[in-house]
Amino acid sequence: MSRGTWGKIIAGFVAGALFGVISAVQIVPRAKTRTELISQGSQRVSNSPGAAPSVLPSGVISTGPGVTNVLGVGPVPQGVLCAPGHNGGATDVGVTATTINLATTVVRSGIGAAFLGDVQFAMEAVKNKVNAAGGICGRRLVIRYVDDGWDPTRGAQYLGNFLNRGSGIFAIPVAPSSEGLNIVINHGDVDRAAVPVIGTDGMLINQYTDPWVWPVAVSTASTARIMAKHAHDMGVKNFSIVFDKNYKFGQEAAAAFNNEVKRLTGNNVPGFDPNNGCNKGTSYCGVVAGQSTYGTEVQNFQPRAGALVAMFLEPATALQWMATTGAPTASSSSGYHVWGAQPLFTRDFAVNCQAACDGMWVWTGYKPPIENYANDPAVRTFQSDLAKTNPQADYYNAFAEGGYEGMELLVRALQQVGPYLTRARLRAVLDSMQFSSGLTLQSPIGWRAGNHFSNWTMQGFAIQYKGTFGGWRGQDMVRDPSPTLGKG
Amino acid sequence: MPKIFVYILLSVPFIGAYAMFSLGISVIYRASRVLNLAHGAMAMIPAYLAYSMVKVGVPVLVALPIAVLSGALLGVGVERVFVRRLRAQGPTAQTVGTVAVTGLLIAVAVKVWGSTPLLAPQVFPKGAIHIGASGVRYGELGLFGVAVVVSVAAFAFFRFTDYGLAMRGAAQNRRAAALMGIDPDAAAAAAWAMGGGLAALAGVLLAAVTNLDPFILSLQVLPAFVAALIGGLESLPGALWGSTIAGLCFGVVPFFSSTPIIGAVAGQSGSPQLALTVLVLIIMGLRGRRISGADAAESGLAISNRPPRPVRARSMGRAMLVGAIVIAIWPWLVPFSLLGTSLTWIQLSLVAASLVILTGWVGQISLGQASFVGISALVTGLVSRGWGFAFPASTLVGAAAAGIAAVLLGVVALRVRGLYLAVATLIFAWMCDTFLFRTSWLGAGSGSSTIPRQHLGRPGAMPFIDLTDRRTLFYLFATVLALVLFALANLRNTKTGRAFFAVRGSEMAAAALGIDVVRTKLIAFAIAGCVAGVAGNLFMVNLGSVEPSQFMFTVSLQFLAIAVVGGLGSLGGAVAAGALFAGLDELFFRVSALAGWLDVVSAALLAIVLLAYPGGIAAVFETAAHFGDSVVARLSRGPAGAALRAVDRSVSAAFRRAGLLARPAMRHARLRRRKLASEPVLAEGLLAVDTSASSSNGNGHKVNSVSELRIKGERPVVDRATTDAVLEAKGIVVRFGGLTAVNDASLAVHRGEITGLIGPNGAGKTTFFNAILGLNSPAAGRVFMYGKDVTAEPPHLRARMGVARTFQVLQLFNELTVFENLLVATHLHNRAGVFSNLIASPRTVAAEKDARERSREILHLLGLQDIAHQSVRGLPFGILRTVELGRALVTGAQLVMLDEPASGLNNAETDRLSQIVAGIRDLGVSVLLIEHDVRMVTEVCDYVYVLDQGRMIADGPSHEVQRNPAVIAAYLGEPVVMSDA
Repeated sequence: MSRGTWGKIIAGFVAGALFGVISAVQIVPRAKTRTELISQGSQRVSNSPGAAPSVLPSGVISTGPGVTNVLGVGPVPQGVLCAPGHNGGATDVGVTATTINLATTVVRSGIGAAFLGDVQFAMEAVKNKVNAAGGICGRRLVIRYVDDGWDPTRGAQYLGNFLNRGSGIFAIPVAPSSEGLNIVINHGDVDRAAVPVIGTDGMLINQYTDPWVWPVAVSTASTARIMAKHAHDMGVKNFSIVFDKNYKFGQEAAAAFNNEVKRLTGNNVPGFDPNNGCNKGTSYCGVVAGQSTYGTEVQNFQPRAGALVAMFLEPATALQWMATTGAPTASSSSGYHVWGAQPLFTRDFAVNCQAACDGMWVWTGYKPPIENYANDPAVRTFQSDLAKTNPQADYYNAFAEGGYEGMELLVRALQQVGPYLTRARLRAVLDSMQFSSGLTLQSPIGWRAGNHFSNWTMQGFAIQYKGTFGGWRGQDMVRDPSPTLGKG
Repeated sequence: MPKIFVYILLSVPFIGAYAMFSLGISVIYRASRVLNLAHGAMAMIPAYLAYSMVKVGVPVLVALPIAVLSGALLGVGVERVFVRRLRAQGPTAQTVGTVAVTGLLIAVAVKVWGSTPLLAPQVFPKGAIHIGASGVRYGELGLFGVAVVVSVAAFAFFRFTDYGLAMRGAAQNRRAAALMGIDPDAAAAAAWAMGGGLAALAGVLLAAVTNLDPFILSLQVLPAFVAALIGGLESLPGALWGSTIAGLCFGVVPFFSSTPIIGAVAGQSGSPQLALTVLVLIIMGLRGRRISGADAAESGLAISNRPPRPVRARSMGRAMLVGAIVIAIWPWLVPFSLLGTSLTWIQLSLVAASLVILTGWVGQISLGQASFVGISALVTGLVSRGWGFAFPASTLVGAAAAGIAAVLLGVVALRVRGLYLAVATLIFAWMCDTFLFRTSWLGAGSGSSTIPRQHLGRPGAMPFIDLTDRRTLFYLFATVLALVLFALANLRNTKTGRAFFAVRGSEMAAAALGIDVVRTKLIAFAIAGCVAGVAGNLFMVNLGSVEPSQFMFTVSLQFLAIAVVGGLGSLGGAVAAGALFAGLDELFFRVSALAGWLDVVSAALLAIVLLAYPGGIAAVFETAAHFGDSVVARLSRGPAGAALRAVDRSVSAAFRRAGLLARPAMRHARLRRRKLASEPVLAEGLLAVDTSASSSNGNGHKVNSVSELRIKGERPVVDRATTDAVLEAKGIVVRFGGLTAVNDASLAVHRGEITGLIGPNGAGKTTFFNAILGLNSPAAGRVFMYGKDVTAEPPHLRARMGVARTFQVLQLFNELTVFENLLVATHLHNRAGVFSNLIASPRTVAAEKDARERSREILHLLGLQDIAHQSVRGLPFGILRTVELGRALVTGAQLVMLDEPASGLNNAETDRLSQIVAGIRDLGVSVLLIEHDVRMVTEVCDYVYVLDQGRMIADGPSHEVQRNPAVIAAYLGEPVVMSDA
């Protein structure tokens, strides 16, 4: 063998040995990722992998065996009052004598702006109202909004900037751009930074299992279970679902829906496919967003007569699906129950869908400004506050209402904490809070340490379209039978 | 009705939509050679206009033609503002320009009409034909019908009308068209007007059956690119045919979801995209050509028209020192947010660098780089979760996975090139986005892939490095970037890098120099894939969690835009462009007023940079560097200069110890400054001779100096009976379809002989030449080189046996200097491998030293030393012929085949060339010469063959062949005998 060949062999051995050494150093105890813990339905997700948190009566949180991180919850120092000039000043990062500095990512550009763009205005409405009244204990709310275009990479980077101690941000309100939030939660960044994220939209399950995130919305998984359970209670025997395979909320919903159907009937949804396909004759159909028609998917999708057809699609995809000839409709002679999730509760969707959506239920956890809720004081206040900030904002948009709700929660929690404002105290308050804004169907909604599934009640509203859009008609109000189950 | 027919009928809406779009795409490509990625956006704006008009009461049948007219005007506008101005940069830059147009148009639509989906006006009656459980709406049928009618009309226009032919001709050859009185700019504008109008028609009709959304239409157009590609990008009937295939994939593949085995794949969402991708790759593989004589223009690439600026060692060392200091202190100086942006910068720089290699250096246009990034990121997640691999072990695995995927795609690239390859890679990226990244086995089935919290070592122990800390990550990532750039810079200036440029410039010429074109391309794909994979791994390590939507095919377009903005051939440009685009994130973070304007700002920035700096940031650097040099020169006088010089000396010494190849410019600088010996050159009939064994004067005596050589006029006599044949071609037959171009032709070249092959135009000389070299496959006959049957051997292996050639149409490597062109020819003698090149091992250093010495000798031989470091672009034609000849000599081949070397030369240049050719023989090299110039043939050739209409009609010593009646008749025709009236 030539010297060159020997050289290559030896080089290969050395490289392999190096690789092995490096690998050995890297093989730390196998730690479950946050996503894995969440998917197991674990509610007790801690800062350290493998360690379960325990809540001590005084609010001290132990973050792992032998490691105690006392977060400083305790009595208010002498002389600190809830009044300007006496509120204790800079009590924590992002808090000064006159301001509470908040920051969040919003969606004002890109494909998500259509249904998430108005959330910022809802948040501003609450902020303006609070500041006009003098703030909280003499501190005005200052919110920095950064548009991330619903881009997960950019969103994660921006949220990471806010989570950094040097950012001077006290908390993150609402976080309408859930894409970036998903990443920073999964990676444990929120935990590590111990920055409260308050009033989120509950789009993805990991928001409910992170101890530093407090969603106000009904989770996607809960929505799916509510639909399945209520249909079952109504006597529906057959279940089907069409969902957006591109987006996580569609996949989470599909998994939760199937698990609930299995619990209720003993069987999977017919044609259930763990790869989220849309096989021939199936009742479980994952579709790819952006197609010009869904003819073949509709051909394959064969819900049985009288079936519940649950739809977890983005508005544009849902419009295209419903426009496809043969797509199951509520007015079909087959007696389908076509129910859509909260993202479809927008006026634009209902108007554009036209007759195909007549009789379709869309579910929401908030009180929409229609029918008996139109005169609800809280709803009217929301409408007028939103109009003051942006007259063109859509007050039917459930995300906007959720943003308002989230800000209201934050304000209430800050008020309860009082002048000596710290993150730890805020967390302790939130984890024992019962909150009623009047905007949620469930009242009050509440959180506990280790259980942030606060809101599990929704109501269906049937779209009315007889030649022209005639609004929605309220239907049944239903609770999630297993709100803390996660995807199930 | 059999169920499959139901699905076939349900394909009609897809076919109709894709046909309308692919028609416009093909029209534009056919008439302007540009791949219009803005086609979907150009369809959207007129659709919105139609919506607005109908909303204010304009009847839809009036709004429709107005919308079409607006689309035509939009097309003309795009052509004028972007396409025309980027023409000098090549079709790749023009294609990226259309990416900018897409962004701008979408941003405009969002600002004017909002992003909420709108209900578009109906053009055809409502209602549907029910088919199975679904159906086809009248609007979808109408779309299909209109597509057929418009296809026929467009085909007829281009085929049977004068202006249609003129448009096609202008696209093929602008200069020739202009000489024939056709305004090529007007023709291109007309093509874009047509394409824009077709896009508008498609947009209005399609929106009527879907809905108006600024983003979705751009997605819906993607299958149309596939359809156009299947049709060959130029053929209108082909586009219709391709649309049918694409539509059937979407309609019929789901039918097979219940079929055993296939059903497991067919039932998955994204399976039609998978099927279409496989189909396209197969079609491309079957249709493509093995080797192409295409130059960079056909590949659609132009890196820069400026010659490379010689980089002085001192300025390079200075820059590196400054760079290292900046990187060391950067994390401590900048705000936290900018640190995050810096991590993004490094990732983007790596992806852009991967495109510099693949697209800039090798000419393989890739619109699918995001797929390699995504594959690496997801594989990183897999191995991190499953095997506990962390950085940097996961980096190696992720990069390897991406490299393998790239090689698999590269197998297709073997047979396609230019924008065809671009579309194929775009389809691959689309398939990854819709199918591969959504599979559960790759880890993103639940929607995201996450890695455990990363750290090196154990907490509390030493060493411990927290990989969640941005500062730590920055140093690690910067180190990775530096290592990758170092390796790539080495590659650029070694055998492998030159092979890349050679393949890019001319695959035929590269193969003739012994470069394995197939292997070179695959190596390029592998390296580019690995570099993109490194970026993907860093992506995952940085974020800790990724989602498939982060690697959509649209992200690939952004990556290409970054590389083009940087200057496609420049690694430094890639890094700078990465900083520019990463800086956008920081800008949007800092300036809240930009909320809602992200799309506009991003697209506008790309457009401005493309239009204002067509050569990219690298070109700007060159200009700035020239200026900087003059400033530095002034500053160097005085105390500051003395201090700088001291620093430079120590830096230079450090680099000398580290090795030569990190500073290729140093060598260039030395060469340039070197006082070359005033050795006589061939043009004066004297030779400076290489003292290797190949140098002899034919009498077996080794020639050591110029004075020992024969001057012109003395020709050695070669006894064919006693001298070995170095080349024999026996009974060669070459057919192209029904045409027999070469018919049972034979020749032989003996050692030390100059053999001529002459014949009238169209005799088949070059075809015969190419058959001897393996560039086409003879239907019959054998070829022997040095006694060995090489009939079945590929060109590069024949070259390795000792055969070199020049080309009738010059096949120099335009992106390289004169010296570098010669260096390419040392490929066969250079034993250093790719890995050795990457790390600049001692073996590579020694091989490069030998190669440079070898090339320098030929430079001197041919009197080219004064222009050694000039780009071959713009040199006089005669010099270029000499360079090509020199390149053949550098190979050290014993047999050199010259294909009409005097073509295009004047008498003086031809005489000079004759002396050179005669002198070549005295180096012990045998020559086979195709030539029209009879004077040259008779002066230099010992033996001549005459080919006419594919057959050998005479052979013999040149003075005998000249007088052969058959030869005279072949050139001049049969004499006409006048009868007495």
